Amino acid sequence: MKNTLRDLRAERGWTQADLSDELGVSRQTINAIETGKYDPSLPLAFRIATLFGRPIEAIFHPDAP
Amino acid sequence: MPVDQDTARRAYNREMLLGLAAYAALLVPILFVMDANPDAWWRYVIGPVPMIPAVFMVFAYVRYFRRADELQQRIGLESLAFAFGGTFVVTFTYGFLDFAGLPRISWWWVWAVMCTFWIIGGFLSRRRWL
Repeated sequence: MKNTLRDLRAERGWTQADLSDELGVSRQTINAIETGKYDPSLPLAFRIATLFGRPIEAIFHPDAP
Repeated sequence: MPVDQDTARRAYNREMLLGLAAYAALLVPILFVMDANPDAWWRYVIGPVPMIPAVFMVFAYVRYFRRADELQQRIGLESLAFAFGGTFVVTFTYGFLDFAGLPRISWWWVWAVMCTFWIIGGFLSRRRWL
């Protein structure tokens, strides 16, 4: 799954460590999500969406079939 | 979400260090006493005493596992699955070789084998996800 997390984070001038503190997950988890290696659970995706004030589908996009 | 990943990790490190310190503090005198009393019946009672803090360490690990963030949980689970399967294959293989005539070996080796697979499994899982 693709996502725009890195861009959203950069818009706010946050480091991965800042974002990981906000979400209560490890920095490694943020990096794995940003690089598309790991898709977050629905609860974590909702926390990300709430933090950035956008709907989930504006941040996460399914890969083209 | 009760605690964040850093808090969970710090609590785990602290609890494991405490457990290891207690284990080491019990191990040395008990080995000394057992060595000095080779025929005493109570060797069977005090011999396993160093494992009391080990039980505490098991709970510390389970508590960390529950608190860890979701990707760390996945990596932990994959490492344990690898260790579980690898230990099954190695111990059963040796069990059949023992049946065929190789010498009996100590139970200590089970944990050594499991830890080896746990470390390899952790490395492979981290390489995949991180």
